[in-house]
Amino acid sequence: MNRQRPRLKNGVDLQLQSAFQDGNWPVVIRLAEKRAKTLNDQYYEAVKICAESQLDDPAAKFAAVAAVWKFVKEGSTVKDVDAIDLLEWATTNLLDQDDFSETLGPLRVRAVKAAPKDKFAATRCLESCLLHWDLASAQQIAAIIDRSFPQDRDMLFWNIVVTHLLSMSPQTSPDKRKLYGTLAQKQIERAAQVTEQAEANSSEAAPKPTPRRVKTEEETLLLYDIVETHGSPQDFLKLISSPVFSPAAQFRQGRKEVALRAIAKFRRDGDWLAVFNLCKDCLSDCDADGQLTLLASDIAVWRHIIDAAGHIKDADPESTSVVQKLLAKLLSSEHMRPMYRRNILLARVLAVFNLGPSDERDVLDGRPSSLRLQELIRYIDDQYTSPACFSDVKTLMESLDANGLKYLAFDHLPRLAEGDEKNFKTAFTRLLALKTQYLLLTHRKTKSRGQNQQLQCTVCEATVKTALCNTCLSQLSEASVVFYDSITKSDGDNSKIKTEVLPELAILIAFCSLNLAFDGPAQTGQPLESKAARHLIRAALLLDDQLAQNPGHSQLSLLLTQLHIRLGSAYRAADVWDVIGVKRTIIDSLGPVFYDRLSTIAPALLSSYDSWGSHLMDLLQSHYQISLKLRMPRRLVDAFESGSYSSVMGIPKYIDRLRMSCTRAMSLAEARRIERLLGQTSHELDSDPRFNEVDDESHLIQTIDYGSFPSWNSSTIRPMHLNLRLGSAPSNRRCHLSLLSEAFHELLAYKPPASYKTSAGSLEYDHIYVIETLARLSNSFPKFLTGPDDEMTRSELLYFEAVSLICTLMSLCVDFDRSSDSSDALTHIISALKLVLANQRNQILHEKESSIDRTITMLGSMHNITMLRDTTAAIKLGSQWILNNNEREKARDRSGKSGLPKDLASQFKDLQTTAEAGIKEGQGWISELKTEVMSRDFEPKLKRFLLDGEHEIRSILSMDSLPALIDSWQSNVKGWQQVKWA
Amino acid sequence: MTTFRRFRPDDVNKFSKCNLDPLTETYELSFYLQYYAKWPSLFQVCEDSEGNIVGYIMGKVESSPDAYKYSEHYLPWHAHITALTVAPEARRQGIGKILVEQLEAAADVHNTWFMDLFVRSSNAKAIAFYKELGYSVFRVVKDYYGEHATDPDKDSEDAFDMRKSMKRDSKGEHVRDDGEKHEVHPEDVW
Repeated sequence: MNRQRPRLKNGVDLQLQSAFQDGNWPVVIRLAEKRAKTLNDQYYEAVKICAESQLDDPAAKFAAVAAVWKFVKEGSTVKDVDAIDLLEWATTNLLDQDDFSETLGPLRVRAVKAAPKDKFAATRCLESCLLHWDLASAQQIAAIIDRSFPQDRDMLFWNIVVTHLLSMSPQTSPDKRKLYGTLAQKQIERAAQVTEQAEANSSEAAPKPTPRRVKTEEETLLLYDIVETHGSPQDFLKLISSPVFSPAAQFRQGRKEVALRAIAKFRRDGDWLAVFNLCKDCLSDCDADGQLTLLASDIAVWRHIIDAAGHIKDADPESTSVVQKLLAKLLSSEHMRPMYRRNILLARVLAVFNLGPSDERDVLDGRPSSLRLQELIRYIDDQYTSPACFSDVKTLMESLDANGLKYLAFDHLPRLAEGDEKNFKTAFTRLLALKTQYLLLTHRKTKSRGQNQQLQCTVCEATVKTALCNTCLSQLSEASVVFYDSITKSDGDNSKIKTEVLPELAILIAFCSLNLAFDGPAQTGQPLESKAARHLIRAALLLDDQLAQNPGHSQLSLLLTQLHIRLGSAYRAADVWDVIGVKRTIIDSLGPVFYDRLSTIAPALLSSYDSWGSHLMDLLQSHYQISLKLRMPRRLVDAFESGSYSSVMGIPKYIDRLRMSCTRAMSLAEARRIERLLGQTSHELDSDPRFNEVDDESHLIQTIDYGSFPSWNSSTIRPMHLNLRLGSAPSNRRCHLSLLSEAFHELLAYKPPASYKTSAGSLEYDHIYVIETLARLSNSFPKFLTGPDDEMTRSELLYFEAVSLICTLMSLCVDFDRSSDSSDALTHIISALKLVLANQRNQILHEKESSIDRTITMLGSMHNITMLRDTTAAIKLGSQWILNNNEREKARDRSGKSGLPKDLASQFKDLQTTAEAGIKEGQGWISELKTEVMSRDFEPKLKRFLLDGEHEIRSILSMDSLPALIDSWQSNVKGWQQVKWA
Repeated sequence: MTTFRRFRPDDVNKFSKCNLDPLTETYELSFYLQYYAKWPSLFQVCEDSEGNIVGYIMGKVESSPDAYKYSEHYLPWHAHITALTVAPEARRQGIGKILVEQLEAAADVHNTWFMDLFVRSSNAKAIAFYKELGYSVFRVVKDYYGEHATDPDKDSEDAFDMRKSMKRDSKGEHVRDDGEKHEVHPEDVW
């Protein structure tokens, strides 16, 4: 963090100003010393100290840090805030962020106490404390400013909000939290009371009310936040009954947020009657023309009232009819906007599904019989041309019984879609029908046990052996292909069909193929078998063809990125990813789609020695460098100054979460692995905030935005985007284990620069450092190794277990005591490591004979090969260190009583040999891959592999995208030649 | 199934439906936080039933710096639409219109004279959209954009500064009927 050099304060002579700006530090020191003596001004002392800290001399560098600590310990007050600003600048990067609350924070408090009426200086001090997130100092300053300027209502609320923040902060002890909470509550309740009194007296000739009252929506939201957090249920009840601050009164003023906040609280408390009454008030609210207001037409409010009515209908049978009457009244209003009409129509369907009878059969004698199906059909008939229709009704369709959903998918919607398919509306409706059929086929309720106890598909009535009916999926695929073929071959030039129907149709066909690939237990993280790979490649080629027609289409692009990564075709994935331009703010939520495990598939792709690789990596990492530069962003100060108190509360929460984001940790783990695999130099892990801000107690938060992926599978099976992932998304456990493993590699692979002369003393310190770090790692690994199996791939788990075991082994060897019999324990661990290696090798190849199937499987197994490589590297490094340490012990104590027994030492050598055999095998596979993929025969073999047998999509698969796929694999295999194996 | 509410910082994690559209720019986090911090009621989102953001509008209220008070280009207290986006799949449903109306309601709460926005002169769809909502061209900012959106032979493009009176401007003193005839240069725009 290199902060810009500040300007010296006004009044400083030009000579000193220019020397400071030019960075001419010896001159600054001399001049400042002179001025300090002549003028007896503390500011010049600070200038001198800060200039000294800019010198290259390591001792002088800490002059500002030493001065700050001295001021604090001696209880001195630096009255000049400009001087404190200078000290703060000079100690940046040298003073730990956590030390601010013990150094500069208290210095700023003292400065404000010394001049409480200097508002400008005091607010600058407050800002600094907030940006460094020193809430204790900030609270003291805010309280002083509030006392000094009682007529300034902003200062009152600054004081309240900082006190509230402090009361919830881990920086505060539990007993003080309670105290600050009560303080914040009393202060804001007093301000609210003043407002209520002023409102009550508004008609009388009352004196002008004090400005210290709650007025704005932001202040009201703060009032709710504080009372909710610190108040008793009675306090909250009092607030919602207030004639001024009740949610309904606020809603009538156009303040929807307060109402939504109250509804959320009622829901959490299970107070459904309160939810119902509040929503009823909101929904009854009309504007001057009797039209439904912007706020009241919100579907969220409708959902709340319907949910609430469902909960209270037994106790209050009238509630259902109240909802129905409200709906009927609103539907009869004239000139309703299409969006509001859609919301209310949808609310009517929701009401029937939630409040109507639920035990009816949806279809009788081939006709819709239940009220809910009839109501749903009514909605679909009205809205089927809306692009949102499918997602609007998907959950409702899933609630129908199998026959009801089947009726919609195979009877009602196909009837609506009759007509000329060159017409956009018809084509769009036909697509809706096909998507609904897909939803039905992926729903578990379409499988039931027949009379012979065998699983039967209720759609085609055939016996099925798997979770999905392959016959039905193939038929759906065929029908979609025929439709696709017919549209693409038609003469018409309907651009809307090309942009809005064809991409989704291609995705639907690809999904059918992918379901045939993934049928059976989830295979994520496992190498693809050739049958599955064939389906995946066909799907990828089809979608690539479609992407050529719809460049930048986000759904196609995201699916293709996943598919290519799964197939080991990472270079093509990078091409697709680059076009959709994921960068800056959205990288945190979308980055894992592309970057997660990429280093294990194509390490050379993101090499920092390559401009494109470096660009891609920079897109991922720069977001965190820019957004988390300071402990808190400057925008927090903007929020204070604008009186946006909900933003004051929201920004720190978000920044804390971003700091603990799994994507942030992943960005470091991926970068480090690439550097390791390619033998590139790295900066120290400990100096990276992505590493040093995370400890074992940190909970890393997974944030992935799957919103742009097509969500067409029924909720009873895994969404397609999860099936396509190479293993699960970055999780708290996996990220911790990845960082710990990188720390292990750094520790053991470190070699001091050649110019560095080691002394015996420094070697001893280095040795102690290694032993202590190993002990810490041994202690940390087990905390994250246990947990659900599906949080990482099998290969990853084996690798992490291996690193954990080797850490333990090394620690045990350091403390090895010949007098106690610990050899057995070590032997067990060595055997376990050999077993891990054997299992790791088993993860890779199923096809024994050289064939196109074997090549394709291997291309999709790069992740497992990397995990084998990393496991062998860890074992090799660890066992080498143990053997070196053993030699060192033997040299230290020549009595023969120290060090490992000979048979144990030979077991370590044997372990090393096993690891080396693994390395050779891995190198052999890469060499074999290179021969296969670069050969002239590869393309014809691949074509035959793909076109083998009859399949539904043959007629529309052009093979135009095959060269790009082959090129991508070849680039990857070439890139793998840069990987260092030992 | 969509709902409208104020922006929350976590919403950026659900922006993909909007921001993967090539016509929507993704900014640094501080840009979004600036609007959230300074004008939270003027940063509204439209959320679908899965919690995805399918549309959002970012606005601000401001006036020209006092130093320009006597300039003919001085802008009094007004609201400005900085960004409006609707996810491709959520278009044609009136979401953009509702977002603009919500911003206008907030602009009235801030007692502004008018709402304004800049649009490329080639963006006929957007211009028609705003005209339907009562906006008119107030002035043409010559060569405001560094490149032309549709014509690769041109190295710049004009912007239309469009305006609509808010309640405070009851006499319509801050809008023009013949704004397309009033040309200004980028340096006249602050």
